[in-house]
Amino acid sequence: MAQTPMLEITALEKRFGTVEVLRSINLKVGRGELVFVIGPSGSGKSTMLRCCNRLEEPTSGSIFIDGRNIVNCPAAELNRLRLQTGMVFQGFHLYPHMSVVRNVMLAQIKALKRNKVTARTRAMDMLDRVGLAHKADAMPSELSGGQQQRVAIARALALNPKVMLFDEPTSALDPELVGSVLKVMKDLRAEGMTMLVVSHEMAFAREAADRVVFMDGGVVVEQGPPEAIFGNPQHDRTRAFLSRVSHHAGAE
Amino acid sequence: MPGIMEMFFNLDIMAQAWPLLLQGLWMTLRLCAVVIGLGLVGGLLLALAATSPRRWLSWPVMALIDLMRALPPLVLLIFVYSGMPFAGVEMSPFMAVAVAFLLNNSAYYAEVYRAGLQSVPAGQWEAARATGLSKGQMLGHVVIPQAVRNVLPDLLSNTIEVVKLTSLASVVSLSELLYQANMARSVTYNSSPLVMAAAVYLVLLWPMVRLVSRYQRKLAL
Repeated sequence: MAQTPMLEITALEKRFGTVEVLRSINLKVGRGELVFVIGPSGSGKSTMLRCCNRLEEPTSGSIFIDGRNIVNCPAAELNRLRLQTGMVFQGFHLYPHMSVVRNVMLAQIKALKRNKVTARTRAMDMLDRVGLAHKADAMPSELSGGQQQRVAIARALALNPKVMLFDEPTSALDPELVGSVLKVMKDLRAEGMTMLVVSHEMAFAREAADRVVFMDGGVVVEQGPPEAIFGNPQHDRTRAFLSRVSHHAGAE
Repeated sequence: MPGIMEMFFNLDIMAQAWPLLLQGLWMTLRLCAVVIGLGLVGGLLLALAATSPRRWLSWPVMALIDLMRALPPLVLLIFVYSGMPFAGVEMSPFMAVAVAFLLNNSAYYAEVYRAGLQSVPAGQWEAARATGLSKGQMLGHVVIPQAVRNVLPDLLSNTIEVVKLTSLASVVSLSELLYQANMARSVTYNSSPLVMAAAVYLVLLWPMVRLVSRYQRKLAL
């Protein structure tokens, strides 16, 4: 192997009380790779993603980002380590009391200690990248869901993360707004960003993902290129899930 | 009925009493400044402690807040002013009133702030945490501004209550607005100074009451 993977999860376990949510997860995401995680709800996908920037504390195991284990890092360093991962949430979570550009500037100034001019320039670049430079002075409540999610992506990108984590980024969007967010993700992939995506957008996964990971019951059941997972799944559980999802999509 | 005009709306007597009432108003405003100013800060600190995940901190603070809200403020005031000297703690009337009302009022502000802090969705904390902000930065830039915005009408309402509360200070002979008006009444054998004091409270508080109503209507939309 020429390079260490950008993100490497080994033997990750997570328990909430007595409930085992993740059971020995192993997963690698190479540099510039777009990895899609699919699976039924309750399979632990989001929990795994949230462990990658320690919004959830792993019970045991290791998570390496660019070769560095973030699981046992001291609390004092945690805030700095979190800057290596950009997180995009299902519910956007923009700060409603700040304009769009201030949303993208805040952590640059407070966490990265950039000066205001640099932060604003960077913020405008990122907003331009997601096609929303003209909304810089709008308040989040004036934007559509798709626009809010693109601002959230810009907010994460502005901090120069090494990995972008997407937690069902399009699940809260009206169908006609999904495309604009997926396009931004596709652009990011073209620019070489490493991405780990939990999502139900199967068509997008088929088209844009380098690898698809199927999780169920807190374990990785199988993984492979999208053609293999969607075209020729090896496990019954994968087949059952995919047929449920496609029936569901067909019924809509 | 000339009797009523004479007894309650006597302009001559009002003019005589006005300097006295002005002194009282000044004292009332000073008291409000201390109790509201420190109460807003103290209440926020209490609310942060009460919502802390550290139980050794949150439980005693919650108990203190409950106690202060359950005690009638007049009981607290008389205890501080007349009861504490038995323990060797003697205070001027102003000090006693400030301490008693600050204890009472911080607890009320704390409850308002606490509702505000709890109204900020967990996603806001997570977004701030995920972008590497420290605890203090999260509170200062993301959570507290939203919390305050969400409960602004309640903070204002409580502030109005504080202004009214200060009239209780007349009981310990602090020469605030009501005390001065009552003095003027006893000297002049006429109730007009009391009516005038009521009018001063009205002028002071009515705009704030209106503001609260407008805010609440705006938030309801």
